Amino acid sequence: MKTLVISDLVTMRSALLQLAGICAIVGAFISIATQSFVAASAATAIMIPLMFLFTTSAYDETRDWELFRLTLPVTRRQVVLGRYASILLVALLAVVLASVLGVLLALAAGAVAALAPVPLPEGLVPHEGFVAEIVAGAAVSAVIALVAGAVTLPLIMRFGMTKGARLVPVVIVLLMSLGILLAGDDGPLAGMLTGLEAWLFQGANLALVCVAGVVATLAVYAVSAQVAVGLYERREL
Amino acid sequence: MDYLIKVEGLEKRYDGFMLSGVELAVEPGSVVGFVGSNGAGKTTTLKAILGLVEPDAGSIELLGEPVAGPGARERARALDAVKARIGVVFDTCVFPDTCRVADVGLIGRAAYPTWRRERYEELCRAFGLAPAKTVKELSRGMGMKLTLAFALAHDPELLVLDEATAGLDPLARDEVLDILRDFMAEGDRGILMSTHITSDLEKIADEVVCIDEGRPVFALPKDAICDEAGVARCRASELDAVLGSGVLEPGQARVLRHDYGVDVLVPDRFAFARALPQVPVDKASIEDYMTLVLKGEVR
Repeated sequence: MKTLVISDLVTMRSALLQLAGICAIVGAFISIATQSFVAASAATAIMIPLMFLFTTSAYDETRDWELFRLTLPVTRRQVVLGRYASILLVALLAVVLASVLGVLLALAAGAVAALAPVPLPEGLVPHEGFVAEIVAGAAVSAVIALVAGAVTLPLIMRFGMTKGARLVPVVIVLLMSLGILLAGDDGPLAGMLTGLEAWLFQGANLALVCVAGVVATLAVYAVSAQVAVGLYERREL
Repeated sequence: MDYLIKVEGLEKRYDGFMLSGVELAVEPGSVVGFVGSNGAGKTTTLKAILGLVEPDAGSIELLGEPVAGPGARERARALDAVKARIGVVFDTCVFPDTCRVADVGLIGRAAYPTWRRERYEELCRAFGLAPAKTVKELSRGMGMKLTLAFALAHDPELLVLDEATAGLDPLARDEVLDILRDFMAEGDRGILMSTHITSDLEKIADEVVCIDEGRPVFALPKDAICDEAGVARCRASELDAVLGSGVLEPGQARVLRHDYGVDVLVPDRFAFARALPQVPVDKASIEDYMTLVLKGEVR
């Protein structure tokens, strides 16, 4: 698995460095447009792992790299688990980078606000707990990226990037339709959602939901990895 | 270990194509050339040997370990250990464009327990590969040298090459062949080399195996083709006399007609020259031999 993580990271090193620079610029614009640093860090944290996932998958299909990789002393299982591990690692790094970016942007805006005669919007001025908000925004985005990865990776492992990427929207639309069916106005879960917002902000409920969400996401990610292993082991390359 | 590679009765079915009854063996200390026209099944055979596709029937032993046939599934881990002792080169530089030469070394170091960093760096220096160069900056020849450096830096016992010299200019091809000769100079190593460039095999191979439309056609020592066999260049009017001379076994002769005469494949050109001194007979190249066997009329 180490071989795969290293090969993914060295392959993507220059792209990740470029992306970090792009994220800093885009993050600044998003912050101004949305008047919030949380949005900038959230966008960065979701953009990096998803870009990593699709670019490494695209490289697999270039010049027989995917086939050649299997001539190294690695099993197909290790190839799949290595890809899942490298995306998880990059998602964690993205949370750190996005948080640092958000905090730096907030501090810079705070310094500008102290000097500028025009008052800045509330979301662009550091306030009590702004670091926690930025980190939480980045973490939630990374979790969403991992869920997207859990849906996408088995398809890519089974059908390859080109065909798998065509199937991803179909699966997402099906999942969204299922969600609407269950939680829509007449759905069986509709009643459960009433008052959810009020419940979330009582006591430590929000923190509990966040922790449960991360645990559930990691569980889904692990199940997805096992499914992808099974699919990749049966795939004719 | 009697064989580095031993393939018996290999079968693999796809829609519209079937590999059937392929036999192949690479002994320690030998270079085996694997030839055939496009779509003959060479790459499928190599993929099966390397465990990349599951054969439908037949047995494959790689460095003494079964990688297909009965019990092969249980030996998946053993296959991993075997793969650590093999170097593989495809017809392109397979590493992603963004990888630097030094990064390729990092991948090799992570992959192979026997990876020798100094050996890789030495090979890169010898091949003129700067560590900071990215794969996309390398020419085709340099890319192939990078792949060869990667394949050689863990001291493999066996090299499997799939069209490794395709698309290289003659000088670059000669350099690659020199690298392969150096590889063979040590110990009981072996090379299985699939190629369309049969002149490369004339320079390096010990044995030539040919398949066509998924079936084995011939497996002969190179000397039996390039030294013993010949191509008789006769006039159309001489053909019946040549075929009736008793030098060629009936039903085994291969005849190819062209505008200026008829070529006849002769298994022993010296015996033929003694029997029919009036008919000129040239040495056969592997290409001549293959063309006559695959396209020649059986008489």
